Amino acid sequence: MESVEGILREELKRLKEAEESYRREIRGLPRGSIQRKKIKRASYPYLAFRMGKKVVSQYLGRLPKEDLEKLSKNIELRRRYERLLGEVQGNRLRIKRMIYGRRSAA
Amino acid sequence: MAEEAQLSIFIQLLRRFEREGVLNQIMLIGSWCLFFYRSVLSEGRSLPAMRTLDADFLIPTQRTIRREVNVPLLLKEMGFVPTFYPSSNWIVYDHPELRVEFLIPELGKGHDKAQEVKKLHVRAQRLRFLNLLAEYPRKLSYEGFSIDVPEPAAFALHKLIVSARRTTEVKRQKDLETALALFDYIYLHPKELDKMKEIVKRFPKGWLKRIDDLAKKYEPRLTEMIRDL
Repeated sequence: MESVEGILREELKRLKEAEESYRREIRGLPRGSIQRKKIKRASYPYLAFRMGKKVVSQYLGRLPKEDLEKLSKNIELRRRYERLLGEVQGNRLRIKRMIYGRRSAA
Repeated sequence: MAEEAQLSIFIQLLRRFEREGVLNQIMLIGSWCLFFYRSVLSEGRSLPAMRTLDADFLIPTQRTIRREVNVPLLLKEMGFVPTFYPSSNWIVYDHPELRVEFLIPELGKGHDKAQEVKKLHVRAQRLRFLNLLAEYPRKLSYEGFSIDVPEPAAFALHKLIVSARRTTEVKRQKDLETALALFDYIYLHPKELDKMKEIVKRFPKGWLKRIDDLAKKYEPRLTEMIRDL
């Protein structure tokens, strides 16, 4: 039993480190989404993201196609990491409950 | 912990490693070997199912890595993120369900920093006694791919040796429990026992003494075997 608790504590430590790693990676990636605004006949790319309660639209200028694709991929990667971060946090809570019981884990 | 999700990501990882030509250059060690022993070996179900979330891969020093693969990029594509240990220069790769670590045998004392394995773009932690595992690989087939794991006898002997060097009681206990469960299995299977005799016979004197000391305490059957050699 002691050995099972030891494994759980080790796992808790690992998940804390994983959480920090996901946060670090997320900080380095762009947030929001790429939107295209049609003005007259031309279409212009904007990066739309939330800043507090406001939604900001940032004009991306005449970005080359490759740069736009890279930005889009990085936004996608950020979303994926955010989802995985959520899973890490869920696993941490589950393990805390296993070790300390439901009330003290919250 | 969602065991199915963990197994699924682990199998995905192995398949990806196989596809990219990484799997045949490395060896799976650590508690995940028990999963393969249990699944593939005859009567393997009697072995313990306990495994940690670390997937440890050994990079054997006696093999030349032929193919260059950007392993961190491959792991990134699967959603893993790097976690750095600045004091030892080591990098591991984390996922909600799994941590991937690369290890390499430490040849001699005084190398406390991780070693860069350029062809795989990873940094591997140097640990003592890993040669014992690297020198005795067994290829197992599972769901269409084959994987190198250590011979169960080498794995058991290694666990016994490292258990005595553990600084934390919990880890020491876990290593010992795994080793003893494997010894029970090995003693019931003559081929496995012959393999263990072969391994012990080739042990350096220092290791033999170490094993003998531990066996006297925990595994008297092993003491008898050493005496017979």
